[in-house]
Amino acid sequence: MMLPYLDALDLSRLAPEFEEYRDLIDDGIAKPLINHLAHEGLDVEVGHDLEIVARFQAAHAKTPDNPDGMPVFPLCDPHSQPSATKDDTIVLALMRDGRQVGNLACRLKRIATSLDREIRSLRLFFDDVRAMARRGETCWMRPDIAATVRACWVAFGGAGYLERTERAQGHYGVLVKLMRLLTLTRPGWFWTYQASLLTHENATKIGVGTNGYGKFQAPVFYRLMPHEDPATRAYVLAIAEREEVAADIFRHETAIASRRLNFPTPAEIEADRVKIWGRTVP
Amino acid sequence: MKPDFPTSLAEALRRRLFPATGLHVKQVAGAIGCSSDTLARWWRGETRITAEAIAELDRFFVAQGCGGFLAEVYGIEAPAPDFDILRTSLQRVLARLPDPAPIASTKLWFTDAGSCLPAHAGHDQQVRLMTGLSPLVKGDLRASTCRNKGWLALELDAAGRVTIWHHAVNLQAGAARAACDWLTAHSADITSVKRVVEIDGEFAEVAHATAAVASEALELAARPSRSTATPARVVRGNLNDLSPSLGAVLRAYNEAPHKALSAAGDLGLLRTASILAVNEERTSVRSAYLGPGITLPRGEIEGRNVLDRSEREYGAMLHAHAIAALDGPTFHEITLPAYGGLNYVRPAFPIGGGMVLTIAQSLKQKVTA
Repeated sequence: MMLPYLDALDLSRLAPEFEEYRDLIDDGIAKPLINHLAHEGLDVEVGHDLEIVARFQAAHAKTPDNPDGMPVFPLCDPHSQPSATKDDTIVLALMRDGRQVGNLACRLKRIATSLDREIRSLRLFFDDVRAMARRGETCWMRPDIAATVRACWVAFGGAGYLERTERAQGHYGVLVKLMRLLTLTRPGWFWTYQASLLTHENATKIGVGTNGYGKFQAPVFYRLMPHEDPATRAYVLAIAEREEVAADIFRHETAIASRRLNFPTPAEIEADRVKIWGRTVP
Repeated sequence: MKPDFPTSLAEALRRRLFPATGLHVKQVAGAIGCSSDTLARWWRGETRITAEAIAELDRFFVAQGCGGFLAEVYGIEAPAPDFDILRTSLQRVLARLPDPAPIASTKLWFTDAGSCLPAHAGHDQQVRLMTGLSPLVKGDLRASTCRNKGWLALELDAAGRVTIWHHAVNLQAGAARAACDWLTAHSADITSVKRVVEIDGEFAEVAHATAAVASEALELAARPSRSTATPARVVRGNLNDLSPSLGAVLRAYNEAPHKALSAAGDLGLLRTASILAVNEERTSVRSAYLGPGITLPRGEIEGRNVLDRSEREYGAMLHAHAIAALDGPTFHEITLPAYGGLNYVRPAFPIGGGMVLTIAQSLKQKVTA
C-alpha cells in the first residue's frame, strides 16, 4: 500500500536528540519540498514493499537496447531479499498524473560482523547467497573504512532512478532529502551509518552532490564475474554517520529544492573568507 | 465644459461595449433591431441616431445591469442617492430573508502552546493556510498535524456531539489542557464525546458519555508515561514455540475457539489472563476481564477502553494486538524496559463475540513450566 508522503511522515516517536528539529522537519523542510514537487505536477508516495521497486525496474530495465535503464540492485530486489519486511524497507515513488516516474529505496540492515565482510561474502545482498547469486560472482574490497562499520544497523540506499524526462530538474535531490527525513524519523529505524554503493561516474555527482556523502571507499569490485575485467565493475562505497546525516539535513536551507546536502551556504563560505582575509576583500 | 452629444454618445457606448465589457456590437445591434454597421456608424458619429434608438439602447443596457446610459448621453447629472429610501428598502429585503441557519459545526485546533485556533474551513484547510501548503498536496493533514505536532483537533456539531482527534502517544500536554478547558466551558452544550485516536496509521475510537469523562481521559492521554520514554520491545513469535500449558490452550482453541477459555481455566492460567472486547467496527477495544494475578490498578482498567490506560504506548499496543488476534491466534514476546526489563510471552486467542483472551506468562514461568 502506498501513502502520500505527509501521511507516511511519522514524528510521533522522534528520537530525543532530534526533538528540537520537530517543527523544522515537518513545516520547515518536508512540506516546502512536497509543495515544490506539487507545483511541478509531481507527488511522492511511500511504500514498504520491494515489489514496488521490482515493478518499476521491470518497466525500465537496463538492457543492451536500453543501457540507460535501471539495473537490479539485489538489496532492493524482492527475489534476493525475501526476508524484507515493512519494518526494514522504505520505497519512495515519484508520481506524475498517477504514474510512477521515479524511484528511491532504502533498507535497514543489521551488520553482524563488519560491512566489508558482509559485502565480500555477498550476505548483504542475498538472503541465500548460493541459491540467489550468480554462480561464481564475487564482491571484492579492502577492509578500510567499511571494516569500522561493525555490529550495527546501516540504512543502505539504492534503486534510485528517474525517467529521462524527469531528470536534470533537481527532482532526484528532493527525493533524496525526503528519504533522509524518513530514515531519520521513522519509528524503529535506529541506525548508525547511512551507506550507498555508487558507480564511479555517480560518485561525485550523486554521492557528494546530491547525497552529501563525505567518506568514500574505493574500489569495490561489485558483482564481479569470473574472467570479467575488474575495471568494468569498479564501484565506490559511500558512508556517512547518523550524526553527519542529521547535521546536513536538519537545516533551514534544506527546504530549497536546488540546495545540495553537505554543501556550505554562501554565508558559511563568506565567514571563512573573512577569517582569512578580513572584510576588505570584495 | 460639457462634451457635445456625439462625443457623449460615443463615450457612453465605449464604456458599455467590448473591450470595456463583454457586450459586442453585433449582440447589441441584434437586441435593438438594427445592423452592426448602423450601430457602428452611430458610435462614430457618422449618422444621426433617432430618439427611439437611444430609448431602445437605454432599455437594453438597463436590462444588462449597466444603467445610466441616458444620463451620460444627455449629460444629466445623476441625483444623489436618497440613503433613507435605500436603507428602508434594504431593511425590507432583509426582513423577508429566512432566519440564518445555525452554524453546522464548530471546528477548532488546540496547539501544543495551549492556544485554541478556529478552523472554519475545516481542519485540513486551516493547516494548509498556516503552512502555505498547496491544494495539490495530498494527505490527511489533520492526522499528520496531530501525529507530528501533538495538536488536538475538535469538532462540535449542531446536535452537541463532539469529536476529538489526537495521536495515541504524541498528544502535547498544552493541547490536551486547552481542550479540557474548552470541554468544561461548553459542557452544557455537549451531548456526547468521541475520541478518534491514531495508532500507527490506524484509527481507534473511544466513546465518552460526558465532557467531564472525556476531559479526564484526555488528561491521562497527555500525561508522560514510562513506556513512552523507553518503549516496549515486541517480537511476534511462532505459535509452535508456546510453552506446554499455553500449547494446550491452543489445541483446545483449534478444536473450537470457545474451548480456549475453559482450557485456560482448567490449567489455572486465568490468574494472569485478560479478556478484551473489540467492537464490531474493530475500532474500539475494552478490558472486559483482568485476572487476579495481574497487579495493575483495576479501577483504571476494567471496563474501560485500553487507550485510556495511563501507559498509553502499552494501551496502543494492546489495541493493535487485540484487533489483529480477531483473525486468528497470535503470540508476542514482550519486554518492558521501563519496568526493570519485565519479560513475558502473551498469546491472544479470539474466543467469539469479538472477545480476545490473552494470557501473560513470564519467561521464567515458561522455563519452569
